[in-house]
Amino acid sequence: MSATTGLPPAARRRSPLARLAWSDYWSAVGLPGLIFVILAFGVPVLVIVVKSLTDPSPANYSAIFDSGIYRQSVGNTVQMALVVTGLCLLLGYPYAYVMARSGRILRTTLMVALMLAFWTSLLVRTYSWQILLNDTGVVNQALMEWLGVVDEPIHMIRTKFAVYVGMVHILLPYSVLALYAQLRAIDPDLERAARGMGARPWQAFWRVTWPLSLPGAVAGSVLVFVLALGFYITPQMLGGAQNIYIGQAIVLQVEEFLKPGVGAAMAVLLFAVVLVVLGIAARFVGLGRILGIGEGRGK
Amino acid sequence: MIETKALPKFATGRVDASAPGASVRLEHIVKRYADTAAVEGVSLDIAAGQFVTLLGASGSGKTTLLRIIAGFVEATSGRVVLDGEDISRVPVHHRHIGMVFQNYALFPHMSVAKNVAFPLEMRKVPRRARPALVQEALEAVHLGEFGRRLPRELSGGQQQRVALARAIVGKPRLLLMDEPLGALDRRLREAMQLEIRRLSHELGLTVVNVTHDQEEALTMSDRIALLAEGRLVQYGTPADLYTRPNSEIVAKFLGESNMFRGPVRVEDGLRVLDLPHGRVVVPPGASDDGPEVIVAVRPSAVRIGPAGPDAPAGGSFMPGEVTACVYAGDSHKIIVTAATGAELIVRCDSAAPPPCEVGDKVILTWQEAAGVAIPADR
Repeated sequence: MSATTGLPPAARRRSPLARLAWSDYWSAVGLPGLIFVILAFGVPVLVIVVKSLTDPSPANYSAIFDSGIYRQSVGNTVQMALVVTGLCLLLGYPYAYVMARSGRILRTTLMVALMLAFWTSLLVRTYSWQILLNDTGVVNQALMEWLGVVDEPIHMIRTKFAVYVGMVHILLPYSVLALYAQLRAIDPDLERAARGMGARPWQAFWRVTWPLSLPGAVAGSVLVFVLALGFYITPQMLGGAQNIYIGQAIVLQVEEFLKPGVGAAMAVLLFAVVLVVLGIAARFVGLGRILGIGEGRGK
Repeated sequence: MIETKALPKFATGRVDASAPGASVRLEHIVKRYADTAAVEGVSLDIAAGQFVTLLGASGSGKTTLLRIIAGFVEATSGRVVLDGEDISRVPVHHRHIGMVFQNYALFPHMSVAKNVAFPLEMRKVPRRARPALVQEALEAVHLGEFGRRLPRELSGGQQQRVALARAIVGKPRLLLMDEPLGALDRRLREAMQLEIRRLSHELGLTVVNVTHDQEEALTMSDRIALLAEGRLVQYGTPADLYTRPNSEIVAKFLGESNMFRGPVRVEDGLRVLDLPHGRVVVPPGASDDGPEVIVAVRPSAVRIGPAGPDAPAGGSFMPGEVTACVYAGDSHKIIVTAATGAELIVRCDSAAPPPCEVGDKVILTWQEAAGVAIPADR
């Protein structure tokens, strides 16, 4: 913008693009990446937006709300995303806390366990849950034959329960990593100081560590919530037909009802909601922290 | 103006109390991690109201010892006794000990006043009594106007004062300080040394301070406990340790020393070190059990003169050659390589021109009483 004033006269005569590229070596190096992102992400988004308005008309947007399936899927999705976010926070906080405060060996073990899950393909993990939770799956077999606790298989697959289990498993690392980065940045002496001033362990945690870890908790939760909103594969494979989520509703519009324009409008709406959620959260904790770049680490 | 008025009020409130500071007794404290020992059997008696510094290099066990007293670390064996009461098994939050951390450990999400009020809140001081106590503590460290600020809005020295105010506001029996001045620049450090000393005296606090800075230890302490490799080497007044070190470690740690080491022999009725050059008289006091004795001489006690053909009669002397002559502000620091090969230091008044130049053959002399005999470490 006003960077021109700082440039030598020779640079100022060049075209704006050349100036951008040459004024900073790193922007020149980053240019191919930028072009790729524009082609692979920016253009498709634009195509979808255009499609939602022109295939056949902007009436697509009002059609969304006529669809009972969509209304239902929005309710399901928000509920699922909230439950999954809550569970991730509940399970992830103690995990991250132990990881941040333990010795090297325990920390590495916990980190490796987390990352192994994280790096395993989403498809593989979802299929594994299918195998585990089937009526004839490992869990039911164990309950019936080895432990003899139940006579009939417990119906788990194609229920909300199965979706929650699978989603929490897949999204937990995001909340753990965000919380871990935040907790690591808190000086352990702060809790010691509180203890030395007469605070019981839970008081020291509640008055000092918890408030200081809130930005990490918010960042991790927003990330989990936003990712959960748009999840398709896991709900599709583990959930039941009576409970569909936004992703599935979009696919239905495109593939079953052959109304790609309405599907596109739904996708645009979801995208807008995600942007709004991120925007609101960014006002409180900073976007870099949510996305895991800068800020969250170090101080 | 507010400060000067409020300060005595705060101070008298404490001094009037019958027993302000507690006495502390450490009984054979041992701390082992896996197979390494951080502290190896340290026993220490600290009288009520005394300012004691645990002095040592890193790895000497001084911080571990402090954390054992605070209760953050549990000793493998040994007892911590506070005013006659064994507190070794008392949890941290019941010990009622104030502590200043090396990096201050101020709560970044609370204002200065909230920070200082925290111990009062935890100890269930009535809500209405808190603001006055907080204000008194802040005024005692000259920060009466800063209660509403956040810690990050203060300078390092001010943060240090807040940490101090927070440590003393609850009127603890004992104040622990873990390298409290380490992060400050030299000028501020010296000002704070005097400040802390004044406060601890006025409040009658018993203080245990940890540092690796010998100057800080000498300036602030009633007693210094010098630690090395987890053991207590010497415990005494700063003057004791400085003028009568009981070991090579102490002599090396506190100030500069010239050390001569060798077996003792008797020459003309004098006990001297058996060295190939010069004459080093062994002052009385050293035990003769060891095969060797060290004689330590402070650089300021050594006189330097031109080398003559004859050895000086009586007293100690050592010939050598000047290898460096440095102007150090308050003195000239002259480095002499002795005939024995040892490197010696001489300090001369800087008001006069330096008495010699590099390359000069000189002879160093000193009074017998200027030396201290130390049993040599094996």
